[in-house]
Amino acid sequence: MTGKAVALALSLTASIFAAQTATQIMEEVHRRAHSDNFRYEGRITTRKANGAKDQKSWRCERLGEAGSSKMMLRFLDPADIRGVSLLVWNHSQKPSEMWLYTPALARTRRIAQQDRSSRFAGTDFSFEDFEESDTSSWEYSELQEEQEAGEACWHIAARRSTNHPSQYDREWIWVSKEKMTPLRIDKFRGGKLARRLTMQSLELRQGIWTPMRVDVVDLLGNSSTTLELVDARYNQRMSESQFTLEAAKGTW
Amino acid sequence: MQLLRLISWPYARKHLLRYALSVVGIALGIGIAVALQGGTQSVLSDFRQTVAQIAGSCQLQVAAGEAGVPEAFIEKLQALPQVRAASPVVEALAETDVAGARLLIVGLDITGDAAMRPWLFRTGEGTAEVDPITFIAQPDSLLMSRSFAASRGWNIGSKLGLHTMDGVKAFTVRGLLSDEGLEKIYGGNVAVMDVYGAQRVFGRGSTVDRIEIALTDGTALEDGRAAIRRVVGAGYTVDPPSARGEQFEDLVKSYETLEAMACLFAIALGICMIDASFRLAVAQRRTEIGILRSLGATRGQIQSLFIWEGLITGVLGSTLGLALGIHLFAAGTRMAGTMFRSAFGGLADQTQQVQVTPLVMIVAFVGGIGISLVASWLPARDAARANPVEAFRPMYYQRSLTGWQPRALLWSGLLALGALAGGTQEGSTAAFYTSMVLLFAAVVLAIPTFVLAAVHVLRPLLGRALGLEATLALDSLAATPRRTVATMIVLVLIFGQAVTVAGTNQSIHQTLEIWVDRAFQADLLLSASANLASQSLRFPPHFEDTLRAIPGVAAVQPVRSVHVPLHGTPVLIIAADYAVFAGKRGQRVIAGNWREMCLKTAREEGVFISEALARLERLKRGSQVELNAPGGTLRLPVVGIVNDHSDKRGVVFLSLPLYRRYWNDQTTDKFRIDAASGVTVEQLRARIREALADRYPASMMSKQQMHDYVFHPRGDRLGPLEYQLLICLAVAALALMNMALISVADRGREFAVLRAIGAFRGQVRKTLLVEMLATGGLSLLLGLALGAALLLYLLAAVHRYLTGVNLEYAFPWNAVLWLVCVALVAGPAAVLAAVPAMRRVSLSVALDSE
Repeated sequence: MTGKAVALALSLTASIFAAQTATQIMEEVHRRAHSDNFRYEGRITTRKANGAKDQKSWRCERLGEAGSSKMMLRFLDPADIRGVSLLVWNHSQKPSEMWLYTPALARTRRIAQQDRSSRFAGTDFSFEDFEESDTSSWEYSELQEEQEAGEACWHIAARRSTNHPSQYDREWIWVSKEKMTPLRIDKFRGGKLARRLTMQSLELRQGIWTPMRVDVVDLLGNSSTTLELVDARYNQRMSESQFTLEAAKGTW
Repeated sequence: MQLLRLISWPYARKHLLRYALSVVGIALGIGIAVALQGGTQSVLSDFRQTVAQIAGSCQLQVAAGEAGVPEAFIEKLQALPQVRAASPVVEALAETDVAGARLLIVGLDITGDAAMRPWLFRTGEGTAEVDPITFIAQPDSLLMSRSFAASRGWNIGSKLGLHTMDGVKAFTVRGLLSDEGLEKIYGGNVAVMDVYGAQRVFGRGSTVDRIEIALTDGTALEDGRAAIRRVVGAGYTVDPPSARGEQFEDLVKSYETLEAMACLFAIALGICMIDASFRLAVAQRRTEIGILRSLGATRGQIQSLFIWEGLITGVLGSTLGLALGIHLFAAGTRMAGTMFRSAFGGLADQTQQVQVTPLVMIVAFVGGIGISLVASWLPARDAARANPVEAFRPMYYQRSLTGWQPRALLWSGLLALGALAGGTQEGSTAAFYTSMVLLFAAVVLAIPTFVLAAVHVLRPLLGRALGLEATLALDSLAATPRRTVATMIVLVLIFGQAVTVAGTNQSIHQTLEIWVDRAFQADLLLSASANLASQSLRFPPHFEDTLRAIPGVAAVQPVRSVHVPLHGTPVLIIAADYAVFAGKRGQRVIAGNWREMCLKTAREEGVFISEALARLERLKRGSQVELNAPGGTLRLPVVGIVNDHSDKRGVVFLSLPLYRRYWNDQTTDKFRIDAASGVTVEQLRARIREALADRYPASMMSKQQMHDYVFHPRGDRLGPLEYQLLICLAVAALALMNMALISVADRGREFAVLRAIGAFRGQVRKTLLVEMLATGGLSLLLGLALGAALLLYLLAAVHRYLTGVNLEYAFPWNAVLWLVCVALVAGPAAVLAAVPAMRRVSLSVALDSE
């Protein structure tokens, strides 16, 4: 009995230690990725289950810290969706807010929490995948050491805290020990692996390891999307006024 | 069975026409019942299915009738912890540029409806996955039902024109709906559009038609409803989707009551026709019956022989009736769809479920056999009771001539008194309908006495005018009241029914005529939608100024008509500036003063209502009407009651500024437009068309066109009542022919004797003709009296129990002319039909028998 109690105490201590460590690692990841803002142009290629291929491009700007950042994503191509914008306001203590602007109707519509699991623009990203949050919105656990893409990684299990509803039950994150940046994220829904994000072609840009290519695989829908980052830059001139509903209606 | 084969079958083969008439009698009754009942149920079921399919997994709907719900509510509702999903919906019936095709456009939030309607995003064979962003980024996007697209050879990328607020606009098919989605509703004529695109093209302003709610797991419906009510207030309904279907149940029930009455009548008619036919069979086969009884056949065997014949007739008639019913089913469905068009907002117009439910078929089949068995039972019993000696005597129908007349007359009087007492009972529906049945029975029981009295009066008159043949014919009527009465009951029922049907039609026509004449006094009525009953499109707030600026326009009266719930039932609000109407000749006033009620309504001191609403909601002048509007609860006294038929469920006439304030709806759906002096209506119409330049699909109607629209909606040259009347006329002709055959069969020997003592064939035929005409004439007289009384009952029932509408009593003289023609034409036709039978009677055999 005593032996069992000691084993249990040791196990608890170890898991608490591991949890703290996983959190610390993720805090370090966030610290290293810190920038005042970020801008890139993305070229998106989606391959459907039936083999069909679809290409789009957007320009994305982000302002502020991960937990309270604001993001504006505007489609550049193809012509039929040019000008469609997604505005995201992240909040650390409450769910983020999202709006979609369609120029043809000159109308902004709010994307409700219930709708964030929908695929975004026919890609394998969901609306929720564009939310950003700081480490306080997550519970990290199960720290393990593993190899991923030929690099030594921390394998961390993450779960959203209750004030941030999510379509995903949990996420597994592989963080490069050397670069302290995620190389792969597996997202689980209903206990099943739903999406896999693989960060590739990492480049050190303005001191921040930046994946110039992100592959997203929808393992339930059998389709995949590749996001190639072009002209990715940190700490450019940006202001709050560029991240408003009014700004969504304007042109860049 | 052996008796059937040896005796019944040869007889049936010999009298095939008469048997066929009996079978047709049952078949008609069953066929009509199946078509009407099945049609109504199909329309209702199709509507329910449409509502359910569109609703998806939605548990509650927030609505405010056709006034719409502000889109600002969507976010507030989405924020509720009890709400898992809140999704806006706009629904409109749109005319297309494809000949005769209308599309049910369902505006949904394409970016986020997966939670509510997973089928929207499901792919299937032949469907293409739709990128929601690409879809909404192009407002001309449509998700088309696969069947509709396939029927026109369309595919993804095909274009079609839709009538929108901005005229005919081209839309592009950007995806096809999978089979399990909306394919099964509205006949597959369905397309999905982005809700905000639909909001714009159908002129919804900043409102949506309703917000559909899915509750979070574990939230009880009532808790969810209460939380939503706290957000939206009392001006909105928060009900499950099924409530939308239930709102129409009462309306359908009213129709079903009328339908049931028609079916009841058909059943009574069927029983009488078969009874007459079997009595004739018994009369013709009395010798056979006598021989069988003499040879030792028991009474039971004789009775069962005729009951078996009845059963076979019933099976044949029911089978034929079912086939006929299924054939007529589509027509019945169309009829019911047309009847409920305004109530269902057109959602049941395209009902294509041309499958009669097994239950309806079984009930109809068993019912047909039952009718036949009931009708054959009495003649079978009579046949079985006859003793062998009596059975050999001729003129079967002459037995027991007068024994039951005084008793019958007494009963008839008592029943008539009962009918009168029941008819005046306003409170009890059961008593009222029972009194109608009592009236039937009273008339039937009075027929023998009436015949004898009529013969007493007519015999000397016709004898002098038409000679001996007329005297013989009338003597025959008097001497054989059983045969005469059997036929007359059938004819009186038919003529009575014809008068009731035609009278109802004429009463409705006359009432609507007065209403159209008084209610539409403007030169033109401009409606935003191509169809007056549709509320799909609305004019924007500034549109009144556009109209006023058109040269030749003297006056413009904006009208907003919307359905809003009153105690759970949708009633029609007609909001206008009634001060303008005060000086004009108004609608027929039931209570109050037209000028006073218009002015008070304009001053927002009250509302006036339709008589139907007053009746259904038990409102009187001075009663308070309480309408829950988005802007608060509106309580106003009733300042007048008028006869208006814009909506069967009732109309509230309200000040337009008051409506706009309380419902926060600045749109308009109709304008009454007057031409300036010197400008003709056609010139005005042309100028308005020119000014609108196809920006709006608006329809313009002059008073005459409005009249035509009300009385002959597009594609419906004949209404249900006209069809019933035609059937009545056909059945009357058939019954008279049957009667002639019966008469010849029963009096074959009498005719032979007449021929033997020197009468010419022509004289015999004339005797028969006079008999037919006298039977038809007397039946017509009684039928007219019965019909006149029944019409009174029916209109009272419509007023008291069904719709609350007080229809003008209009006796259908036109129909009477048709009925006289039937009696006159069918008489000689019947004699012609009977000639071969007359020839078959052997003179020597007849004399031998005598």
